[in-house]
Amino acid sequence: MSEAPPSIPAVETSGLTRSYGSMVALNNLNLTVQRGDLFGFIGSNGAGKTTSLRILATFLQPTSGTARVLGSDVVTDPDAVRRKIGYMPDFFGVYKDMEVTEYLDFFGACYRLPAAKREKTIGDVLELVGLTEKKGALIGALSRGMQQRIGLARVLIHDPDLLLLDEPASGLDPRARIEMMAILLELQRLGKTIIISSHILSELQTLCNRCAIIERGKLIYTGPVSGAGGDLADATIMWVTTPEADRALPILTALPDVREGEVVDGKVKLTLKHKDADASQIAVAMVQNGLRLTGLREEEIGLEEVFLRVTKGETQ
Amino acid sequence: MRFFPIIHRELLIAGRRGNTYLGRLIAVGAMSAILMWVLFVSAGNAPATLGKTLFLTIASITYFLCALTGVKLTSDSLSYERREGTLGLLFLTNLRGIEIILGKLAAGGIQAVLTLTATFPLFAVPFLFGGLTGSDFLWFVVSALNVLFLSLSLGLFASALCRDDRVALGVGILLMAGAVFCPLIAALVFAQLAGGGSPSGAEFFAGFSPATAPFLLLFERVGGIRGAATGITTAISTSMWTTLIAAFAGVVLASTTLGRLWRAQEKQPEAAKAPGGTETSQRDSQKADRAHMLDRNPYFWLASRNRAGRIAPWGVLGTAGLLWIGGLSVWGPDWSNEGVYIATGFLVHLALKLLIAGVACWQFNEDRNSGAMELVLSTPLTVGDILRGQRDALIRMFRWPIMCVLLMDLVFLMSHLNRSGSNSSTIMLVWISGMAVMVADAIALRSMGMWLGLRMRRTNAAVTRTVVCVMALPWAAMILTLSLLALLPFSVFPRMEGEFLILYWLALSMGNALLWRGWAERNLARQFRAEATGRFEAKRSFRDFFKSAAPATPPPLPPT
Repeated sequence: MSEAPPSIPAVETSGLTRSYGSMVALNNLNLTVQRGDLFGFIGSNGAGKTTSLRILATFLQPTSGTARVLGSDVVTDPDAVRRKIGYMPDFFGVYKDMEVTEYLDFFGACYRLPAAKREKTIGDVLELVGLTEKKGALIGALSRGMQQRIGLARVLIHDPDLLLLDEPASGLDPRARIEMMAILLELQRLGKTIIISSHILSELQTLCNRCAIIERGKLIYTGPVSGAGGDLADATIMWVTTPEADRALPILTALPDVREGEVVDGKVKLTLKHKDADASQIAVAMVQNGLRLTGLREEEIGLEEVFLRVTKGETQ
Repeated sequence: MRFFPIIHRELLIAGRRGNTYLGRLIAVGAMSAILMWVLFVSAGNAPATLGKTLFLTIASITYFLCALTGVKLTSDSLSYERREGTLGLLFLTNLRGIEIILGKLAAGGIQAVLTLTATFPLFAVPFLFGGLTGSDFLWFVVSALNVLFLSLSLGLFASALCRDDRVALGVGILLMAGAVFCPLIAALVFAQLAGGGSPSGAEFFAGFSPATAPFLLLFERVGGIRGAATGITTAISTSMWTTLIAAFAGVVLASTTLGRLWRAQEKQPEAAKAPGGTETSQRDSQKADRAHMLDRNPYFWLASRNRAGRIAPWGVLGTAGLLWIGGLSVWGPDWSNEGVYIATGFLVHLALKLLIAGVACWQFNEDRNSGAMELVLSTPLTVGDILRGQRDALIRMFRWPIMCVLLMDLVFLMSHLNRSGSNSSTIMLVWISGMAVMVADAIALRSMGMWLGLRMRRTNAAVTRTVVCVMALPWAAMILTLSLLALLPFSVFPRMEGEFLILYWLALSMGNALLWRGWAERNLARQFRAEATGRFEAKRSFRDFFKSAAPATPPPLPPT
């Protein structure tokens, strides 16, 4: 693959909009995915994830705005984009009457790989996805998880720099999902940039380093996965562990930055008025009032919680 | 009556399809045109004779439509549910196999009867001329419904047997053709072997054909001299009873087949076996061929894998050859005459053209429906490469069969020239025109099949439309022209007969083929990517039928 300069982002969209008649599927999307990112694309059904990925894969033309993939414009230079990406749609699209090797050989030829190179590459990608022993099997005879892995092998056949994966783990059993995630992490380690859309947010949280949340075609959040909770939360929740929870509650709720408090399972749960509030005042108040403090921690907001808080479940 | 929900659902779906209404419109329009044509051609006859002629014409067409419409309506009703995985959901309810079959049968039957009813006002015209009785018309309605019932039930049986819609339609038509022709062929062979000594034996065999009752009704009772004599009525009743029994047998067979099949796991392709010694060298050879073809054009390799498409043309030619040998052995020298030659040529051309349409539609349709086309388009393979690969594969499949057919035509032509009579040049023109149109139609069917296969959701619909546009339109145009000429009170143009008529048909066919090919190639070149990656949308209006393609591309980008 021709290498784009490292300074160029893997994906850069500006004001990207796509309408179907009066319905706006994608509304002014400004997104940047850096090279080497494992980027989660999150949204409800009909939020605009697939539309975004299909524009990046050159299947759809934007109504307005621009999208560049590794420096190439998806509208003016689609051939260059196709050589650089591997696109896996949310359906299998396999030829069930083909053998695994035939299938990969066919797509290798579509990417203009010479016959000798194709044979070696097929062996390599099958090894990567753990299907070396199935290379002579008919695709229709394989399980859904295996077919999904064949799909992944297909997108890797020409060694693309960017992978666009639309719901790659949907419909897979837990083991197949875990295996798929392990393969994606390995691909990231090999330097691939991966954009993955999924509904399984708990897995995206552990898998991705950055994410974007989209609803009704509009970008709500983009940034690090770890910071999503902090960035989007309107308040901080602190858990105070003390043997004297009932005594501590009125003292702590009287603090100026505390909005409300309650005792839950013997611990004091405090909701601070804003996310920048100073939590050390809690420890100070406990000590000054002679209360024993055995634990003080900030509640981490998971991706699922963030998603539920920032979206309204609206679809188009 | 637990199958009412199925009928309700099927009719709702049919009601949303523009093609349901378009089909009725076309049926009535075509029959009206034919009625007018017959009216003008036979204008000089006595009113009663004219009434009978009109009735015979439109009734014959109605029988033909009944025989085909039923199969068309039901042949994909069960196979579609199997492909979509919804058949199991029906069985999870309280419905039994027979109830599902009855639901599908009734839904198809209602649609067909409504189309049939739409044509009934046309039958008032023959009545106005006289020469017909209410009893004749009643017999006709009952026997047409009988043929329709058989057609529906055989379509259902085919649908229960097959998973693929094209195969189901093909099997349904074959079953119907077998039901009609096998008893007639048996009767002919019996009559020939018995040397005319046992006409009742031949009549016995012929009585099993669903075509016998309509034939006797139209050409013996209405149009013939036997009229409403008791004997003819009994023969018609007997034939109708056998047809009815065959139709019920079709329903029962469909029901038992369905009940047996739905529980069985979907047939999984077997895993490839480890090759042995000779297989290894064979596989190496296949691998080398594959690599060669993939390097030439990946899509060419993909489209060339259609084994059924490669074998079918030779199957058609082989069947025609066997029938010919059979005919020669039974009828001897009587078989070798101009009528048989032309009928053979016409049927073989027709079968080969239908095959070309079917195979041309299939690959793109299958790839688009499965999503595989989208994957191919995500690679650097260009649209031009895909089109070239598909064209080359079709040429590879049909090149030699077409050459064989042209050779057969030449042999027939030479045979005719050796025994040439007064109409030698006319017959020669027929053969040469037929050969030219065969080649032109094959090229047009290839392009149209590729475009409509890509554009339409169902292969059968794509094939039907391809065949109508390329093959049926010239005939319709010719009939229309003849009708219009018949309207003129004086002769403006030379009389349409003999060589002039053939040349006119040749020009129409060639022009039509050229036109459709150009249209399809233009669409393929300009709209392939947008069409292949777009979503199928429900069509609700008649206008959709005439649209070349929905504008799948978005509005132009604003200037930056």
